Amino acid sequence: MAATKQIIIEGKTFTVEDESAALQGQNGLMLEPWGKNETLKHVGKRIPKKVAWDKVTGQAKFAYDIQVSGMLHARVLRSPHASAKIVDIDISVAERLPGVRAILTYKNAGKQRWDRQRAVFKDYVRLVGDEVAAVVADTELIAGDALQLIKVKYEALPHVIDLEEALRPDAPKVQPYGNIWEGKPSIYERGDIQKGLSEADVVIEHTYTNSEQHHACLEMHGCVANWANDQLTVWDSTQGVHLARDLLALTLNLPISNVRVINRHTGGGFGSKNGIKQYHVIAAMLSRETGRPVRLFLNRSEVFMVTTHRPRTRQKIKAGFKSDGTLTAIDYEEYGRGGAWNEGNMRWASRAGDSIKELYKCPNVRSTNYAVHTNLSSPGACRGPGNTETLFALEQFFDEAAVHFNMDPIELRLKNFAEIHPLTSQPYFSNGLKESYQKGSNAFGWKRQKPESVKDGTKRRGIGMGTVHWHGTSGEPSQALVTVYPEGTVEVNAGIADIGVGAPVIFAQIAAEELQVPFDKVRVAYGDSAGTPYTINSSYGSRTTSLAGPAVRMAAADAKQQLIQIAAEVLKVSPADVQLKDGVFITKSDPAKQASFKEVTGQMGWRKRRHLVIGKGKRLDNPKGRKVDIFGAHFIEVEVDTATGSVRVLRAVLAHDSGRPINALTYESQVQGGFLMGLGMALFEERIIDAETGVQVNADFHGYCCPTALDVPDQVTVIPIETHDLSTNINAKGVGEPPTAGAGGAIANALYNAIGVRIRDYPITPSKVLQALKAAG
Amino acid sequence: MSSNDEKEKPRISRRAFLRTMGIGAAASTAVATGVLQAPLAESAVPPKVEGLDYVPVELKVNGRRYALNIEPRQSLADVLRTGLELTGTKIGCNQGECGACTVIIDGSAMYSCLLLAVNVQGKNIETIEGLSRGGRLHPLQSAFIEKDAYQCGWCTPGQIMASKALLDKNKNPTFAEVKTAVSGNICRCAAYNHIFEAVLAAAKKL
Repeated sequence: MAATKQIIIEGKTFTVEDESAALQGQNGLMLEPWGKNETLKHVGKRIPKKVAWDKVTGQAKFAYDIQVSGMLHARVLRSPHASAKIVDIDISVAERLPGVRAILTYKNAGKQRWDRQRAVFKDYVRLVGDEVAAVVADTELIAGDALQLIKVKYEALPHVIDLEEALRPDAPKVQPYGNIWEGKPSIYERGDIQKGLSEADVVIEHTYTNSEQHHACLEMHGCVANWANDQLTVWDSTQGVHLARDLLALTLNLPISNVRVINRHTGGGFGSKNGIKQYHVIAAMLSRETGRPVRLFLNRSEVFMVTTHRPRTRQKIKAGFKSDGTLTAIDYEEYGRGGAWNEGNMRWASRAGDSIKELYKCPNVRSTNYAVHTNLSSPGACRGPGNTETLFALEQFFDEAAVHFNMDPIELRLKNFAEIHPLTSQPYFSNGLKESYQKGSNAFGWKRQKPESVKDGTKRRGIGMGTVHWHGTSGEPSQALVTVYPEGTVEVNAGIADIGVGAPVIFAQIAAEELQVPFDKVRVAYGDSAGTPYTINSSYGSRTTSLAGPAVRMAAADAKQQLIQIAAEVLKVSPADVQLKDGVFITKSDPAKQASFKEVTGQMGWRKRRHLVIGKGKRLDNPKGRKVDIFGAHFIEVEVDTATGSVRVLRAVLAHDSGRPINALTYESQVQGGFLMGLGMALFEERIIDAETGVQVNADFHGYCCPTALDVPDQVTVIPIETHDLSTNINAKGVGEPPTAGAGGAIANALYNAIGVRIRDYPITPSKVLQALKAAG
Repeated sequence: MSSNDEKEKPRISRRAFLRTMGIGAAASTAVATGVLQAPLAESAVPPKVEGLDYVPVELKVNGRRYALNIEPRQSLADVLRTGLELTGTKIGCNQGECGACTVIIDGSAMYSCLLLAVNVQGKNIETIEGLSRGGRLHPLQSAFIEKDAYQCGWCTPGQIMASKALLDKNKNPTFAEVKTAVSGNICRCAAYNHIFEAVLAAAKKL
């Protein structure tokens, strides 16, 4: 039984597990977390990424760039119908096109399953873009030619695309049980919602909607697969080599050890490149069929239509307040547009609502979530899944309530500040929300301003703020290795893919810190499921640093301990008498007796007939009884042109509590980038689906508008709120997703402040602004 | 996809050719889904035979001359990547929308996915691979590293080439000129503010 301690909050006593539980390593090793004001040599600094040189010179090889000797190229024929039976398919012409090597359809592809419900190729389709056939040929262009020559006879069936249409009793049933996933909503309830509402002095109710945001990673989805002699090697544009490997093995019925997934650089993921998709399985099948490596990458419109996206949602928030602004109840109802298949990804359609349950103090809460089937591809995790949609609604709702009570929006939030985590009734390890409000508002120069008070011709300016909230990890198993070479260099070995946020540089900083070696003496091996430990299944949940970082530090500490053993031999003293200080091994009892780092590492290797030091590290569970949450506050100024309806974000101040930022430079990049992705969702981005056909009409970058250089504010100020978090030995909580979640509410509130009209339907496009202004007169 | 009675011989119509090239948004949608696909025209286009359509071209890339055989329909981006194995030039959309394939042709930043390689013979083509030599980086490359002006790095070669085209002509650009110069290059990780900083920092060093 681990040691416990008591924490008193608001007069209540909480018994929680002591931090030491999480910090105990193997072989009796103890790692204290870094001290609150401890100055570190490498951690916390602005250090460019390890992969920088490769990326700016064009030398970085992404999966899309991989060219393997003998490689063939595949393309997929996809359904043009939102729901249909395939009556017949004729490949006789296509397979005679010179250069075509193989064609797979439901007729000849055997019984290879995609999941329990369906085979990869079937004689029916449920959405525009479902796989109908796959061609592999000598070049991608020939494979494309062959697609044109495949003749398919479809019998179209009724379909439903629109979320509201799908909810009607007479709507076509997408699944046999109907259009509500699993036939019922998921419901959460605490306290007594009716009692809470009846105790309220005021009940406010509003409904918010958001469109489908697409990840739109610039490197398109795909892989190169080589299946030879029961060994499958896949170069994959993935967020996690281990999860992709595990799922390929499972789906293809291969031993895990026979599958290898390689990826050194990933051209964006944002949640869409976790695990595997049909194209992985098809590439592997075609490779087995032809005995050649097969490259299968989707094109841009396929990426838009058949990979995942953030779901369209309709969220109703009904909340009771006392006249002083204290919450008495929140009744929340969400409908999310899901896809055609009864698959795990449907859960993302009913994932919103966490921040309703967990952000503000409220005794009576009910959340009712419906995932609704339609004839579309399934949604998936998209940067801050669930919380982003929720906060886009909730943070605008709180602003509306603040206007009602004539309170400063920060004051209303502080009034409902949760000292303990409302869902679990546990204390937080750290909570930088109040500090985020304070430092963010100071940096912004926050001062309440009346709506429509700043005018210049047709231009109106307004300010707004919103809260950021996201979950930290509770701790999953994570392992890392640190090898020390005779020359004194260090190699961190971690089973991750680098999705661009800079995990390798962070691991190098942590290892350099622990082993007290110069930063440039550390290299990081990663991006290959063969030969790396299981550091993380896949990089999602803003948790690569907080999961893997502690394991890397533990591995470095283990290596240090082993080096001390060697140093003791060199110095002819007992190991207990040796410490590593400022990169030198020193005898505690006689500090003049020293050995340099290289002197000690030089005792290893084949010349000296001694094994290299390999430090092993693992991440342990967080100490029990407390919650890790990530907080922040966004402050925004916008300018609205009432003549054109266009909205420009002029400046943004983003205060983020992520524990200790390990790299101040990459931290800033992540917060800015995450915010700007949220800005895109708030103002521009939406998948537009034609309800008649189920076709996405803007499956390209002209119609689907990601923010460009001309759309972003000149000033995006990032303020790190450094809470001293003791859930792990590195004090870090995570930062990738929360900046996206916080963007929408603050922007919408600033827009209201500018024009005095609310727009509750994201993205807030110029036409919606003009319509709202017109309706308001 | 219709199942009309076509002649049994493989034929590629001009329309299909354009679709395969991914020219324009609607056309690319058709490639992906089979939507809007008309029956194959019974045109006089001869059956496509592997290798028959290949034509010799000579390209001048980063100051070197390359002679190779390509299909006339191959884009410059495709030929750079698959023919010359210069994969630093990235493809993010293959239809002239994202800017990842930006190269410099006779001094101007161009989308190489929208150019047919056969049409740029004799022109000076600069790609990201031409910027550094023997490990020495161009000031823009150093500045992109120092300012962390990228995350995933897919758009980075395009951003750097677009910026280089600007700095080659304008050694002292304003903030607004920098923004405009990279406005045709989508960065989905949205490293824009760091990109602006990097280009301005590089300009000072030139």
